[in-house]
Amino acid sequence: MRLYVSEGNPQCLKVLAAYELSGAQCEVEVVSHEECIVPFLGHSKLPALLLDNGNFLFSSNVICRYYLTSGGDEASTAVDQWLEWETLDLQPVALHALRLAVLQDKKSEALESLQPSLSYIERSLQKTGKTFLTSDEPSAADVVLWGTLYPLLAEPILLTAVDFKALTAWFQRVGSFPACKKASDGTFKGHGLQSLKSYLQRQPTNSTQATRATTNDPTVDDGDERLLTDEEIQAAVQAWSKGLAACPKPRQIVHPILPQQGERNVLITSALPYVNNVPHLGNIIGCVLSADVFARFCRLRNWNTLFVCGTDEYGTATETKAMEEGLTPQEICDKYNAIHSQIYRWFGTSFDYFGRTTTEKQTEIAQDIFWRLLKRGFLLEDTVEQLHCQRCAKFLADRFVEGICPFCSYPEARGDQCDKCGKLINAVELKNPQCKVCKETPAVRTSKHLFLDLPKLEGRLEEWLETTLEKGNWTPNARFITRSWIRDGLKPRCITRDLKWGTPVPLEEFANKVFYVWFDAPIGYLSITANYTDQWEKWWKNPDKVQLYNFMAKDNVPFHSVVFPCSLLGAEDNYTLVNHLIATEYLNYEDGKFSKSRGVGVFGDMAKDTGIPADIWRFYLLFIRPEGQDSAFCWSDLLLKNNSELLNNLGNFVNRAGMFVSKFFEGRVPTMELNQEDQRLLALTTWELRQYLQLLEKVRIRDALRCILNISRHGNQYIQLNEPWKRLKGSDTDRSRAATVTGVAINMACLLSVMLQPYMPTVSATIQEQLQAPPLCNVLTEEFVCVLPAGHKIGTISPLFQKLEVEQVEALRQRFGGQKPDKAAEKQEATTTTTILQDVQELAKAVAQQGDKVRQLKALGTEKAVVNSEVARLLELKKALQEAQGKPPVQKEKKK
Amino acid sequence: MAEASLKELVSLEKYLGLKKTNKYSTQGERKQQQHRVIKQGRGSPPGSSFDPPTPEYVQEQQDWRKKMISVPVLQTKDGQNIVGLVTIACHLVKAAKQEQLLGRTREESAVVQQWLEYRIVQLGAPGAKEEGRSTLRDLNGYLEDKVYFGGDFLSLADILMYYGLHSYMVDLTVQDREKFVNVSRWFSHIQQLPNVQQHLPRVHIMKNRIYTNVH
Repeated sequence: MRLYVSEGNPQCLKVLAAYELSGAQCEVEVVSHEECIVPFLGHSKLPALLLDNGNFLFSSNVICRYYLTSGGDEASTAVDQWLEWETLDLQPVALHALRLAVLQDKKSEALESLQPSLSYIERSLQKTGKTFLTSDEPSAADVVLWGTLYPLLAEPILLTAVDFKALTAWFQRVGSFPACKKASDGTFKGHGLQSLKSYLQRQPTNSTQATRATTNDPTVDDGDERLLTDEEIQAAVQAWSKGLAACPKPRQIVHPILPQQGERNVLITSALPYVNNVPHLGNIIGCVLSADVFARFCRLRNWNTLFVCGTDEYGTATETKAMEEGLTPQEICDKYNAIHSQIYRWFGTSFDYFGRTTTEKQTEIAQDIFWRLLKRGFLLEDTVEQLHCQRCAKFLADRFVEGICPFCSYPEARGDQCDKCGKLINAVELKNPQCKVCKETPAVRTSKHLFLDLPKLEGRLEEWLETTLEKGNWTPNARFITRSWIRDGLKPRCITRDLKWGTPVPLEEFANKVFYVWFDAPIGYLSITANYTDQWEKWWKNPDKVQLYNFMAKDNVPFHSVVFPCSLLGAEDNYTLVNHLIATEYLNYEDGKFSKSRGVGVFGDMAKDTGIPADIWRFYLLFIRPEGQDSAFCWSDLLLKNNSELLNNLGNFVNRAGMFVSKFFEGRVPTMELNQEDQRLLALTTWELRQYLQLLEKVRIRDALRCILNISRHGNQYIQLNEPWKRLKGSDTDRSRAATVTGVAINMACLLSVMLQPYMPTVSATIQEQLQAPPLCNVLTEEFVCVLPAGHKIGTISPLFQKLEVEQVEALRQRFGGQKPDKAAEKQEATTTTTILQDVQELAKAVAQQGDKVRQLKALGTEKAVVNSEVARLLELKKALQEAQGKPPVQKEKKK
Repeated sequence: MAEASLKELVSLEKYLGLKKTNKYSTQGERKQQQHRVIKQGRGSPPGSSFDPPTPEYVQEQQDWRKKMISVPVLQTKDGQNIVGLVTIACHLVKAAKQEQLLGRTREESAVVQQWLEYRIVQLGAPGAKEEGRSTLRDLNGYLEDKVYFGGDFLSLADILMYYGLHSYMVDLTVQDREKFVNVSRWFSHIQQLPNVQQHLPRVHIMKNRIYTNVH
């Protein structure tokens, strides 16, 4: 027997562990990754085991199993099943995750992509309650899964971030075997994940798992799939027939909303958008829109919910903007606060209160927290060297200074960075510094500042984090970023600035100073609530009865998870600290970044001008919400999602159900007699509904949207299969069948209108108006109830969505593509060429895919009509590709 | 794909002589229903006032189906679910008390497992057909000095590889069938075994070479 392995090959880890564990004796030879050991395979495949009978084993799992099954004992079915799952499901996902973690340094994304698989293992371990995967004894399954997961979970920081208890215990149990330790030490040799780099770079990228950096397709968690049991079906039928009267009534909202004893009190904040600019789509989906969906969902669940937000208005950037526009900072804030409110109103966000940070309450509360920190000894004083302009009579922020670069002598280096050599500069090091405003030479002066003593608060922070992370619902990136911050060590942070536009520091010796925005801004949540109600402390000093959800993009995480909690912990006033921190990744624009200065991307105020309704924007942005990994806004994708998901799926279903009632049953819901198929459909719909509730409760907004579309998909198929329009012309039984199908479908449409409300409030209201649905149905429970009983009269049915045309969307894409004639033409050229190039690549890919599809359809013997339409699409794509490649679109004219 | 694997499992049952037929589904039984619906939906325009589903819609549904229908599930009498093609197949072999099909020694059973895994990884993966020729080349090399995948004994690996390779063989030209002569010989041998070739049409493989100059 001889075992062949290569260095830094993750597949070899489990094999070596199994070898050590078995106590078998054989030679182990280390070869290079490319070595072709197995004679009949045309490519290298490692690890490989040469058996005594001359046969080769070339799969790591089979080798493990060989080592670990002695003599005659057959591997159990449970082991078989784990190994098959590992081979087909876990391995591709793990390879993808390793690639992200090692080659692209995206550890939190890697972890997120692993999440469904990990949760499947966690559930299985919990269900059996055994020490190991299949029994209380370790088997090949344990070694194999451990070996695959080890590179991804071995770093303690990653393991604590995943938050699966049974899995963690199992993983550590297996890892503590001396054999496993020896194998992992041998594979990684103390270099950690980096030792896998050369192996991973050699692996082909076309693994089944999507390897694109950004993806707009939500992952489907197949682990949750299951068969419907008879009990489930019975329960669904019972719930269906209980009627609206037996359901809970929607909660009456009375302002001011205050926490109630014995209720679920949910406080939701969205990161405060900075006032000096118009928000772009990424900002909008990152916090405001996500928080809005969740707030609407909480209200539909009858939870006592308060949703606040506002503009963050203090700071240097506002002063700069004011100078640019020739206004005072206050005028700038007034102007942009109005723009922001208007944009969010247009998007249909349901703030209970939208405020701002430049208020008296802000000063009052910020200074109170400051005094408390000062009295408790959590503030330090230190001096900082800064440039001061005599003529302007102020300290200059970095961006207000220019001078000669100390490194490359470039004459126009900025105070923070040199544009020529790219090096970071400390403003006081600039040669011949100049004030950007008055061109005077500033002088170096020392300035006294206050620092928040984070190291002193670290102990309390960790204690709080431990319980919060365990109980709370934090996105993996939030957990990861927080852990890394603490791991890197906390340093004192300066909380004051030499500025005018801010909350004044209430100490005489700091008379010309204000609080630094990062200290000040999160206090805005409190002060905005205080402007909403005098009893704000019932929300913000009530940690036992209030659950606080913070929504933000990932760059904001440390301020909400480390710095602000430290301020509040140090102030010792029983503050409500964040329980659930929901952070999104970034949204890109057509494979690039949004850029205000280059005019690239859609900004909040322009969305309205596109003529596309707000609800469509909401839908698409939520559909591609960067949950777990970056995603991209893409015009052609918007068109596709609108036309396929909304128009053909959801809109089609609701419209058909309604039209059947109004055309065939004089607008009255017909009598329903449920047969087995209908009952199954009820159970299936209930299952999707519960899935939706669970996902939204975990704030998996994008995934929950899928459940809605699934239900209408089931509905469409149900109608299509039963063909009520045909049965109406048939026998009595046929007619009664048509009636039942129509009745069930219209009730599904009504359920959809409620589930849709958090995502598309206007469309939801339109459906309910068309169906004349009782307002009392706007509560989400775990049951699908027949709320439109036989005899219910519906209103006028009309189409919900409009088709988006390619030309229309193409025009929009051009308009927002960043053509700005007054800017340097050179730069523009570069960016447009790249977009064209990307287009060409995308189109070429689409042509190839469509070609495959057509071939497949033909091979399957699909009907002519379908094939023809697919062929037509293929030709269209080919034409577009030619045009994009710069070939003249002559054919177009020829065709006419 | 899962449909094919369900047929495959039923054929295997028959081959093994299992009398009681088992209850199968794919993960989530509703997906079979979806399949039925699509077939019907394509053919019948639903009434004059309602548009038939657009081609994009049908395509969408098919993509959706492909994604969802994936893993076969066997529900045992005691209500346990056994998931996965190879896992179920091994379970059936044991239930039929024909363990020799899984190998008689430790080495033999390792080799059988090796090819069972190869079957689901190499022949079941999306895009597997594009790599078909290199797969066939590898197998042709392996089978050069062997009668069966296990060497000198018939095993479950031969039966599942036969089901898996069937569509590849159908697509091959006569010339290619000759080129991968060892695979063809093995294939022809297996399909002639009693009760193996259940649901699949016979692939004709010529005994006499006609492209002699190629080799």
